[in-house]
Amino acid sequence: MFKKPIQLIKGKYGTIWEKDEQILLFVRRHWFALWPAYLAVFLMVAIIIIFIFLFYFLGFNQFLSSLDLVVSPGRIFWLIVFMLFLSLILFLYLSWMEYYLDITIVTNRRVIDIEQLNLFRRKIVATELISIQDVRSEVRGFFQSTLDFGTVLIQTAGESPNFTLRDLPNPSKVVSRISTAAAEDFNPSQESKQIKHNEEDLKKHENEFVEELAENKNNNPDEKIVPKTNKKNLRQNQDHKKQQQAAKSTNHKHKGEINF
Amino acid sequence: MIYLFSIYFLFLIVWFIISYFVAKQLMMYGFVGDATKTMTKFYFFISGIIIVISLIVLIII
Repeated sequence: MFKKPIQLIKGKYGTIWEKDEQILLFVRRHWFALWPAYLAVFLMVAIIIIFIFLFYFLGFNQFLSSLDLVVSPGRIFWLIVFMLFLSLILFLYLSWMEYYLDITIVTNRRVIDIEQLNLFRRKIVATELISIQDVRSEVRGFFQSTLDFGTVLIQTAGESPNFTLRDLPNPSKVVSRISTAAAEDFNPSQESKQIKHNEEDLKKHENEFVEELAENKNNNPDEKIVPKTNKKNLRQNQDHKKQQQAAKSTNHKHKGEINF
Repeated sequence: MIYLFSIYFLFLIVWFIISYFVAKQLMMYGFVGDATKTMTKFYFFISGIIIVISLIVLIII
């Protein structure tokens, strides 16, 4: 089971989960979901190559020189090339940001879906595991089947929103993890089992204490009933009483001296 | 020449503003121990090299 300490993935500007929540699954989209970025890189490189080809091999350079421009054509060419490069890098950075901040988290209480739709649009939806009614996955098409990624659909009860988690890797695994977590949340969890166990222990100790008391009473009917387990406490009490008596006697002495 | 450089600087200003907002989003919503900081440093390092080279090339040619 995938467990990560909460402190490690705590957001810089506050957390979206509670303190005692435990993360069971932390998934980002499949790498293939970044295909627009790959396509953009391919297109940009193709455009730059075509541009160089046009400029140096098809005589576009000579044509621009014949126009008697104030600025040399070489400068214009390199300016456009550098602008294209910077735009390409910026686009890649933006795509990576959208990919990286798009996260699905399954905790032992909730399913949280964080979607970074664009630079200034972010959506966070969370639902309690207890309100989940149905979880299913859908793998469609050649790429999804071969690379094993797809959509996970979560149907919830009541007013809670339904979830559509797109491009998740290993969708069947994600479904099994969510359904297991939901089942654990619905059935008595380990925590409640632990509480029950502690209660049983307490009752057992109580019974032992009562039995001990009864035994002591039967063995020494004249003596004070002192359970074995409380002997230490009794000794401490006796010591305390002795100290109090000593203090009283000294007080009497002092009082006597004063009265005398 | 001045027009060419002013166009380029205008482009650089717009480019820097967008980059700043992307970096800010990553720093704001990235998690502790994530690759967001490393990626941002790498991005600005590569971009800085490209900008310096572009300025040198544009001045020399």
